[in-house]
Amino acid sequence: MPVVNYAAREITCKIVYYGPGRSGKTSNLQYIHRRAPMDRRGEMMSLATHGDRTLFFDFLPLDLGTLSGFTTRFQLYTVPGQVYYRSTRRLVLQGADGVVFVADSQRRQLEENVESYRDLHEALAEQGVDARELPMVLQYNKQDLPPELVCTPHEMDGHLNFRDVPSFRADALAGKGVFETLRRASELVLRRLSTPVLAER
Amino acid sequence: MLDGRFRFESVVAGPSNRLAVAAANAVADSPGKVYQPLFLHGPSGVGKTHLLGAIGFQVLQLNRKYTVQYRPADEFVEQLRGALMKGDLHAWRREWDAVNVLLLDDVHLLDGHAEAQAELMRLIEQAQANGGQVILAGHRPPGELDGFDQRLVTSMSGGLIVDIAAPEFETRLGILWLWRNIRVLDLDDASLDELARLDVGSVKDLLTLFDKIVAQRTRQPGTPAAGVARIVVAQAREERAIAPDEFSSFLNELSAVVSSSVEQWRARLASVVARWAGEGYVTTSLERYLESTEPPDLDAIETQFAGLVNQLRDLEQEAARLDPKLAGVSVFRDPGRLDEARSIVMRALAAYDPPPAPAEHLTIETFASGARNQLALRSAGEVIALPGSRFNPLFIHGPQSSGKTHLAHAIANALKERDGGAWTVAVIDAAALGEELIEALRMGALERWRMRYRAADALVVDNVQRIGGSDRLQEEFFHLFNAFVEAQRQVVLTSDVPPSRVPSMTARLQKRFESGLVVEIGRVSEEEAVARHTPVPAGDEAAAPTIDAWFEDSVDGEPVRRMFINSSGIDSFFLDPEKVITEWPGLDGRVLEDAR
Repeated sequence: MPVVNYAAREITCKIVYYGPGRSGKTSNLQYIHRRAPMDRRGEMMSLATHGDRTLFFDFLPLDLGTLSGFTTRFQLYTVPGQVYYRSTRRLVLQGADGVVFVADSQRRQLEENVESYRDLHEALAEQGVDARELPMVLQYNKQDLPPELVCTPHEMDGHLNFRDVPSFRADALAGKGVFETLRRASELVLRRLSTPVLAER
Repeated sequence: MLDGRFRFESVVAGPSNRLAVAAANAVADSPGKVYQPLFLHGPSGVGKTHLLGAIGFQVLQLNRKYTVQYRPADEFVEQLRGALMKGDLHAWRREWDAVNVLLLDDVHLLDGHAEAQAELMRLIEQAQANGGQVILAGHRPPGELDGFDQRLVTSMSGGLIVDIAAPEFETRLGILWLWRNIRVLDLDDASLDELARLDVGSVKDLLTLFDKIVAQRTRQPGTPAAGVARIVVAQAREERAIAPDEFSSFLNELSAVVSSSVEQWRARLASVVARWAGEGYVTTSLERYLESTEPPDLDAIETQFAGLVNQLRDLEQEAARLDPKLAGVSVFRDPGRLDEARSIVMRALAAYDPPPAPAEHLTIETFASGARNQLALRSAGEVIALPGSRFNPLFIHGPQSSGKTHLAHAIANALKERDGGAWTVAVIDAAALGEELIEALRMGALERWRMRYRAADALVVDNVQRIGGSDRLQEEFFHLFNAFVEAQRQVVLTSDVPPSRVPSMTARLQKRFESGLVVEIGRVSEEEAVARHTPVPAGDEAAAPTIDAWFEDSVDGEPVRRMFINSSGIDSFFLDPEKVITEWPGLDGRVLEDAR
């Protein structure tokens, strides 16, 4: 997927929010959608089950306007976290320019986090993407819960962040850490623009 | 209305505004020639008004005769409304029509003002037609403005649209250094650095904080500057934390990242593409460079493309002069189709301003063949049968009055008949060619001169030895000759000497003259000369070629020749040698007496 089209002066980035079910990926997108001015955001499309779990995926197009002469558009996706939606996850992940892995900080969810993170690496490997090269950040969500129920960011890093990528603590429902996470992920994606192979014309 | 403080010297260019500053400079240097209109957009306080002022100031510096007007859009609306109420619309229009450079600020304030929008649209169109310049500034790009007439949006989008983002750290620091120097203040680098690290959304905010530091230091002169700066910055951070605008802050940071991440040479090339595309030119060749992994020589590329565009413009002008229907044809907007554009102009030239044609009466049928010109005649036959492919060029040489001119014209007449008479064959004496070249150079119409000949399907140059006297003519003829031979179009040359003996001829031309077939026509024998004056048997007048040779000997000039020749060939009256004076008897007036 082209990241920058110099001829048309357009930048289009696809960022996928990955993580286990109910970790807060959709909450991230909903918060961004609420904070974005009306004219900057497209319709957020979300197909959910009755249990408010993401069935297929969420899609939030963000038109960031002209940044330094380039019309910049972000496409934010979430994947369905539930284990049985494996093929949908792979489909959504295709062509991602960056990944935000949203982990659930609750101790009891630790295994699901690890499993989902492994699943992400498997999916990337299947698509021939080197996970070390792909811009990625970790978000430890639900840090607002009582301390006895959640792992500290340090603990989460110990379990998940073996590649030492940027990590953020967050409370996605309240919006804490949501933009910090997106900003860092966007920055990592945009920093790659100068890599010739990623530039289209 | 221009604020004289706003100049390019006081603009600090950084990733957030570099493109806008470059575009503003280009417009100020060449108003009406580059981006029409130029539209600057960005949030409040990022320097749009400053750039408008700088453009106006520089335009006036370069040309005092220009009329430059700066207006915020709300004033523009108010003044128009006032004029409408007083019934002074014509006077208002006259005033604005006289403006060469219009700088309209805060254009988003025209939202819902239909009259003002209509007037602005009219002014943009007028500037486009008259070579004026319009520069607009607003918070949003034209396409995102609400309450605007779609036609005005299209007009405003027709030139270059550039955004200015909030200044990033380096630019903020540069601005602070500049202010410190301008206001000659004792503020150390650390204080400025501290202040620059604060992520303010605009230059205005930065200036406010800068002024706060200055005011604090004035009140407490003993306080170290760095300490004051830290306090002001801390206060500012606190205030900003109270009312965060996450999305704006996100956008600002992202803008800085985009600025520093996109390769500057690509961004510059993209702006060049945008400029020419905006003027309606096909930019495929420029866009190809965007695929390069290494930065190309941008100056050379820009110069080359501009050169091609200039050639296209000249060609279009020439085409429109010949045939107004050709103006605006798409081929004149595509530098990649320059040859095609040339070909269109050449065809138009061939149709409306054809090169000189052969004399109609000099045909193969009227050419007197004999032993002395058998080879030349056979070669002529080959050339007529297979022009451009066998003997190219055909170089015929021989003494004066040997019939070279006749044969060359005869070949030309035969070639003219090809494809149902569709061929254009240029036939000219080398001396006349030289005169035409001098005239073309004098009139600045060299390209037209070139194309007029290059449009021909075949070229015949008589007395080519006369080219030898002029280096410039040799140079031009060399390229003309090459163009014909390379395109496999026939060239026929005549000379009174063989190529190797043409005086003052460059070696490269001599070599080319010898590259085809060189044939000689022998001298006219005494018997043949006598035969030329022998009465023609009755009823066989068409078989009297010698009278033509006689004309070549005695008459130098088309008007005289026409007196003796009718449309069907030679006037039979002059075929009788008894009725023609072949030798002038003297200057004693006796002949005139006798003739009476």
